[in-house]
This record gives sequence, structure tokens and C-alpha cells, in this order.
Amino acid sequence: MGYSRYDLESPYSQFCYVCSGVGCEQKKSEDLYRNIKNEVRNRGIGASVQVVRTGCFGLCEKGPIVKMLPEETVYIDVKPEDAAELVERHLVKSEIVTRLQLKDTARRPHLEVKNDRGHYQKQVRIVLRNCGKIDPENIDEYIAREGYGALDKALFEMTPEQIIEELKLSGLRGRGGAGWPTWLKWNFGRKAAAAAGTAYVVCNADEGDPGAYMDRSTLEGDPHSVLEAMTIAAYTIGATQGYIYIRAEYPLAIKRLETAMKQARDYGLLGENILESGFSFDIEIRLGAGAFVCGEETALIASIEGERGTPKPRPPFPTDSGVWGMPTVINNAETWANIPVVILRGGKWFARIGTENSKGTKVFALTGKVNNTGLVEVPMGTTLREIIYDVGGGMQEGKAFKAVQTGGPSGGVITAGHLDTPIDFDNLAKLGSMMGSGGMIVLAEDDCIVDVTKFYLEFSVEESCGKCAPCRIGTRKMFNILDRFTKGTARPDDLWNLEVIADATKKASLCGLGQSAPNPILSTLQYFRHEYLAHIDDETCPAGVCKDLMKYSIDAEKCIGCTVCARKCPVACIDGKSKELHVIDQERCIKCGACVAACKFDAVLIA
Amino acid sequence: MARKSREDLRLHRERVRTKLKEDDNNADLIQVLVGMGTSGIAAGAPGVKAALIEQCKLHGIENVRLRQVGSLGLDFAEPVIEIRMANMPDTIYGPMTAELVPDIIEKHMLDRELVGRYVQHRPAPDMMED
Ligand SMILES: Cc1cc2nc3c(=O)[nH]c(=O)nc-3n(C[C@H](O)[C@H](O)[C@H](O)COP(=O)(O)O)c2cc1C
Ligand code: SF4
Ligand code: SF4
Ligand code: SF4
Ligand code: FES
Repeated sequence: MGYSRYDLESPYSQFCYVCSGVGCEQKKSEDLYRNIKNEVRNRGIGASVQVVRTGCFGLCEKGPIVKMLPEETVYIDVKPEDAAELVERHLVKSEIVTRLQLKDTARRPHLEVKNDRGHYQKQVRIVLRNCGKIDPENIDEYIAREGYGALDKALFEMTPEQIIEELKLSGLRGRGGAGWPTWLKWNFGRKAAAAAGTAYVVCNADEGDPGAYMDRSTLEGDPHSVLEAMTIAAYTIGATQGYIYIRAEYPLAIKRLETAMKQARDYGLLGENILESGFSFDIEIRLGAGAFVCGEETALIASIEGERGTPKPRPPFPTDSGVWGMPTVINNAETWANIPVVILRGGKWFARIGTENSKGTKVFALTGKVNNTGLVEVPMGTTLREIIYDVGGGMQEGKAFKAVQTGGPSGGVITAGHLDTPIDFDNLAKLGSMMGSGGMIVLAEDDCIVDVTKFYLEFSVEESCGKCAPCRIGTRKMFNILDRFTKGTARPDDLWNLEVIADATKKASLCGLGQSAPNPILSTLQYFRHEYLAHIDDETCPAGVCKDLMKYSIDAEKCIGCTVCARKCPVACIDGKSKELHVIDQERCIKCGACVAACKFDAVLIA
Repeated sequence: MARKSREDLRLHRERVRTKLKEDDNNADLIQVLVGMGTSGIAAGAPGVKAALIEQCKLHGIENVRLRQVGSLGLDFAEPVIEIRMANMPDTIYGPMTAELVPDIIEKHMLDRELVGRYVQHRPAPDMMED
């Protein structure tokens, strides 16, 4: 870290960071900042100490936060009244104010890391270790950070059995959705390859889940980690050819992969006789046309072979019969990015992070109604509360939390009651959601559960390849029913219909797309049945999203008859004389909301 | 660069590592890392990069090296840059704009003073330094 280059000859010998992120601001960090500044000025140390307001530390629940540099002491729960003590003792007398200091004992076992410095943070970055650190188009920067060291170790110091053993120790499970143990997959592939005489390795970077972009970011920021990992797998199972299946909509990731592959070949890290070990392996990029179903492994294989990307029944599994009928190991891009670390640091090192049956970290694409949207990488076992209220900086505009959608069109929701559940493969499945690829959309009180669910079903209808009827027809029917809910035309038996079709589609579909397409419905019905019912029984949308269910009316108490709304209404459906109560004609109202915005007296009501 | 043996790779790693460390310890060098992933680019990173080049020239700062890096994942703060120079803590700034660039140059680079409000935190410690 650059702090080592930091010396006391700079104009400022100390910096005092005061968090002014939204979370801390709500807890008076602005007053705290002013008090600290005043205290610093009053003590005449303003020339050597700079006090600055900064963005969120990712510790909002413990806010307001103050961090002192260069010592890197972090203080939590600092009140405006604490300013004098902090300045006097820390900045003037160079003491630690232990009362307010963040102590490392607060950390939980899944966060255990050897070196304590800086580890107060919730994020641990293994997959994203190089993202934002190195120039992805310069192989030397990757090499400098132990890049291709794992390949070196694997080729020259480890047998394929030892590599698989290390993977087994690590407990690494696939990050593409199903969470299949990676060592098991490689082991099957290796055994089948021995019999078949050849094999393939594939990187799945199709990333079709609409809320996910962690694979894109990994490939854009650190393409060599995936190339290195695939080469290690090829050596392990005995493959000579690999494919990266990536959607054509990711031009920057493709360009950086191509650059990386060329540089790796130039260095002898890819191609013939890698590092003069006698082992040869090369990789080709295959572009996907952006169909969600092509991320399913059997469809992906067909697509690599130049066929139409439609799924096939499994078994046979790709590890037995994959690309060109040969044993094939397919892993997700994020899974691959973990491999070099597992090999270099060892399975045991990796397995210290995470929970009993889910080791390591998971990258989530945090979007929706949180303050700090973006990619976050947290140890398995981190709770939703930590992700949303610490890492995510809390809810936007202080809105009430409603649920988190994980797993995209194959997943479901997690509700406030489960905010403290440690997130891992098994716990999410138990809650009726799934890890999926790692999309995490935070929903607030003003998001309609039925509307969100409809969005995913619409996606599944569009993405269904049409090969089998249960999925092709089932997703369409489910979408139509949800559409009726949001339009206020649902029939009393529609809830029942929805459940029956969901169940049938789940059981009878050929591939994972159809089998999991009902999940968003089943999960939301489990936790938000009342919200569905409100759409039928009360003909209202509690979140105020479904336009067709909204009624605009004018409050007789508040309306002064100023006529503004009548003039603003685009369909002229508001009637009333000047200085008299105005009335909205419900039949003609198109629910545009113009009258609400126009009325200065808050007289227009929405129900 | 020629194809490498295992030995060559190790020697090469030592060479580039030493070189990068020298840059880090070079009191006369200012390094600016610009986050150039899709999210950074979409938020305007290329414009910020251009402004940095232009404004450094205008301020007569020649000892600056701009490096493109992938995304730190701080989408809410994109475009994101990181400044590494002697006598200042490594500092991440975002959301950056071209308009903010002169401020960053004059305050941070020349006066060695942080530009408050735009300072962001590194989301996680660097595991490679454990
Ligand atoms: C409809 C459907 C879409 C899928 N899309 C993806 C995808 O975009 N990326 C991915 O890695 N896996 C996807 N999968 C999972 C893959 O079939 C496969 O399980 C995964 O690539 C295996 O890698 P892993 O063991 O590393 O998780 C999808 C599965 C289904 C059923
Ligand atoms: S379940 Fe859907 S996507 Fe899968 S094969 Fe059947 S129709 Fe195609
Ligand atoms: S704008 Fe408001 S106060 Fe004026 S007539 Fe319409 S409802 Fe009444
Ligand atoms: S919602 Fe629109 S259409 Fe309906 S009354 Fe108000 S302005 Fe007129
Ligand atoms: S807002 Fe201060 S730590 Fe998040």
C-alpha cells in the first residue's frame, strides 16, 4: 500500500477522514465534521492535520466513522460530542481512544484472515483481487502479482491428482448457479478423458441473468486469471483445447481476452509446449448471440459446435459427453478466477473463508434501492443485512426495505425476516431462492412484488427456446396471469391457476430454464401472498406501482378550485368551476399523474 | 518478448515486480489509475482521462503516468480514479468529472491536500499483500 511511501514531510502529517456517506450523515456526521474541524483549528494544528469528508466506508451500521491516517485507526459510533476528545487525545497526544476504536474482535470466523491490518472491512476480494489494480491489457502487471505462478506450480510441482485433492480441500463450488463441487466435476472429466483420449475445458461467460455483470467485470479487469485457470484445468484433465463462450454484447471483455491470449501465447504461457513443460493447450473464443438459454451447459455445447443453442436431456453430463461428444469440463468465469488462488495458497487457506459447506467468497452485483450500487465480493456466510446496510450503504432515501431478489429469473426473494441469515448456497436454497449467478436486486416499499415477478416471467417467455411444451406454454400462461394481476383483471381462481401451472412447468420442463422459471412466482407467493391478494380482492397495488389499479380522486377538504389540474389534464377529464370542488371522471382518467404534480394543495389523492 | 521457460518466467516476474516497486517508491512519479471497465467508461471515464492529460500538460506536470485498470466495483462512484504519489496516501476519487480535474491536480498533486467529499474507500484490503 502507498501509505508506506507516506512520510511526514508532506504539508499535512495527518489526515482525518470523516465519513459523509448517506448512512453516517443521517447520524449527524456533518456536525461531527464541523466539530472536529473547529477543535483542530482551536488547538492550532490545522496546518498539519487535514480534516476531510469522504464517501461511505461500508460500515454504516456502526457509523459515524472516523479514520485517522497514516495510522489507519478506525473509530466507530462517533458522536459530535466526541470530537474534542478525539482531537485532543488522538491528534494532539497521539494516543488511541480505545473507547471508540473499532476492534478486530468484532470480526466473525468466516472473515478470518491472517494479517489484521485493514480487515475491519466486510469485503474480501479473491475473485476481484486484480480488478482495479492492474492494467488488464498488460500481462506483466498480472505476472508481477503472482500471475501464472499457479500454472508454474501446477505444471512442475503437482500431479493432476494433487490438484484435484487441493480443489477438494478448498471446498470450491461452481459459481454459475448450481453450486456443484468443482473438484468432483474435474475428477469426472479426468476419468472420462482418460478413457476417451481427449477432452475440452470451457469457460461459461454467457451471463444471461439480467441483473448480473460480475463475469463481465472479472474478464474486463483480470482476463489472465481465467486463462491461467483454464490451462491448469486442461493439464489436470488432459485437454488440449479450450473455449471461452462469451456473449457478443461484451465487446470490451472480448477485446481484453483477445489481447491477453495473444500476450500469453507470445510468452509461451498458452499454445505449444507451455513453459517448456511439454504440455500444450490453446483457447478459442466463441461468441454467443445473447440467448439466456445458451448459458445452460448442453445448449452452450451445441452452440460451440455451431449448432442451434438448444438444451439436451442430461445425462449424459458434459463431463462424459460434451463438446464434439468428448468429456468436457465447463465452469463459470467466476469459478475459474478462484482457481489460481486455490492452487497458489492451497485448499486449506481457501477453506478458512466461508461457511461449512460454502467456501470462499461470492461476488454480487448489488443493484436496486441501495445507496452503494456496484460489485461487491463478500465471504460466504455474510448476512444480507451486512451487504445492504454496511457494504451497500443502506436503503436509498431511507426507504423501507422490502426484499432482495437473488438468482434472477431462476431465483426468488429474501425478506426482512431473513436479513440475518448467513448467505451461502444451502441457506439460500432453504429460503426458496438461489445463489444463481449473483444478481442481487434490493427492493423497497415502493416496488410491487407482482410487477417484479412479472418482469422475470416476461424474460423467461422471451428466452424460452420453445423446444419443450411445458416451458414454452407454461411460461406464457404464467406471464398472462401475472399481467392480469397488474392490470386489475385477475380472476378469483387465478392464484390457484398460477400455482398449478408453476408446479407443472417446474416438473415437466426439459432444462433448467423451464424448471426454474416458476421460482420467482413460487418464492413471492410464499412470502408476499397478501400482496397478490390485494391485487385481486381489494383491486389495489399496495406499492402504488400498477397504474391500472390506481384511482385518482380529489380531496373535498383540500381542493380550493384553482382549476390548475383541469388545465393540466391531458385528456380533460377533470371537471369543476373556478373556486369549486373539482372532480375526476374515473372512466376517462388515464392515470398519468399530471394532476398530482400540478396541484399545489396536495388535494389529489392516489389510492 | 520470447517464449519463456519456467526459469524465465520467474526471472521476468522478479524484474517487473522490481520495476513496479521502483515506480511506487519513486518520489518524483505520480501514478493515476483510471477505472476503465464498462461501468467506468459508460459513466465518462474517457473524458476524465482526456481532461487529466490535458490539465497535467497545462499545469506543467510531466512526471505523471496514467494507467488504465479494470473496475473496482464502485459503480455508485464511477468514474473512479486512484492517485498514487509520494507523501500522500493512495487516494481513490469518485464520481469524477472533467470539471473536477483541475481541482484534483491543483490541490492533490500540487498542494498535497485531499479534495474532500470525493474521497472513496478501497472496498477491501489487498489479499496479495497478506
Ligand atoms: C437457463 C440456464 C442459464 C444458465 N446461464 C448460465 C450463465 O450465464 N453462466 C454460467 O456460468 N452458468 C449458467 N448456467 C449454469 C450452467 O449450466 C452450468 O451449470 C455452469 O456453467 C457450470 O459452471 P460452475 O460449475 O462453475 O458453476 C445456466 C443454467 C441454466 C439452466
Ligand atoms: S425448458 Fe424451455 S428453454 Fe429449456 S429446453 Fe424446454 S423450452 Fe427450451
Ligand atoms: S389543482 Fe388542486 S386545488 Fe386546484 S382545482 Fe385541482 S385539485 Fe383543486
Ligand atoms: S391522472 Fe392524468 S388523466 Fe387522470 S385526472 Fe389526473 S391528469 Fe387527468
Ligand atoms: S455512510 Fe458512513 S460508513 Fe457508510
